Amino acid sequence: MSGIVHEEQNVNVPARVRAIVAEAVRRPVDEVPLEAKLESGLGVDSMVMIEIGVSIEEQFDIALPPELADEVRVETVGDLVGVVETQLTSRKRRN
Amino acid sequence: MDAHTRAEREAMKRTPAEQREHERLRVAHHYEHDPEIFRLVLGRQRAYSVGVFAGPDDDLETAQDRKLARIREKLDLRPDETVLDVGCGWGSVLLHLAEHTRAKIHGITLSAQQRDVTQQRARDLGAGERVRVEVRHVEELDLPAESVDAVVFSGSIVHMHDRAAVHRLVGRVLRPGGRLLISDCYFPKQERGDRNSEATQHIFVTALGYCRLIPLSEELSLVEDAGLDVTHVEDLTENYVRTVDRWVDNVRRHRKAIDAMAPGFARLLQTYMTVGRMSFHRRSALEYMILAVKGRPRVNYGAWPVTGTP
Repeated sequence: MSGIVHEEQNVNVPARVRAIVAEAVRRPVDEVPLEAKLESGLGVDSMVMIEIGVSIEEQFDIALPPELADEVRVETVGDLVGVVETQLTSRKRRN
Repeated sequence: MDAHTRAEREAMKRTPAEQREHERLRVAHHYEHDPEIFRLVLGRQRAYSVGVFAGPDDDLETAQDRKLARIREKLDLRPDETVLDVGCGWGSVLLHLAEHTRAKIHGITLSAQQRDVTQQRARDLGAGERVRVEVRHVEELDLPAESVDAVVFSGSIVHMHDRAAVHRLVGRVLRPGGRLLISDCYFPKQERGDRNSEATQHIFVTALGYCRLIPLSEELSLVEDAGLDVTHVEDLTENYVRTVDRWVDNVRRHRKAIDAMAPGFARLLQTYMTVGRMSFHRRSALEYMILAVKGRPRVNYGAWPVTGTP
């Protein structure tokens, strides 16, 4: 893929991750702020977390860690955005 | 036996004939997708079962070749012996045995696509006359008593609800000295994880049509009830985690090609495989290879473990 596409994929990561989470938990995006807690706030269980992970991989063309739900740093929607941004950056470096 | 999951409880409300019909339709559905998809995800052999990894650097093909060689050595087939491969898939085990032994092989599957692919691959190998594949439910096999030297279930018995009937059949059709090999998934005896979760339902029903995981001890008990003696059991759970990791990598690599052939199927594969991977990693599901014999074994088990050089 060209660098231009990568640049585009880096745009609006928080908004796109919020939209993915909102769709998975069937709520409007406004109810999914970055500080919302995935499990205790939005009721994301391991199945929904896996669905969110697959949607993120499809949309951003990245590979997430297999035990995303177990990642200690992934507690809020914002934490998830952080993981995506890290993967996007490391992919950019590899190319 | 207690039901462990929603899928099992639903199966128990059906008559045996209804359950057979359910398996025929719902289990076959997954495997009727374009065989090319499974070649992309599972590799050249299309082995839809655990591989055996000697180390973390093994690739999928090496691990599957090692697994197939291991099955071959455990079955210890002599020329003109007969093998029944129940749920033969696209023929990974069956074709390996056809290529590396002089045995005669009878495969059954619920998928016409799988039958056609396997039969064609056997002809390509020049083994067409020793290999017969048919679409048939295991419970409707009508084989003479003591007519088979080995029965194999590699990643297939999990789809069969009436395990007692399956083991009775094995006990009846095996000749004295005949071997049974099962490679599949089990629940730990002590319940770990939620077996009634959406994740379990997704993998057992939505993705794969029908699955029934039981504790290893229940399967071994049924094997013994059928008159066989268990000779060897090994835990391949960690190997399954590695296998699934490589399948998921292949889904990622070929996502566009898979979606072009079957829209949404890449997502279904990745989702159910990730659920499964998590279960095996946490050991809320386990993977075993079981070997049993009817009557006196003819190999010296003192020479175990079989190394299985590919």
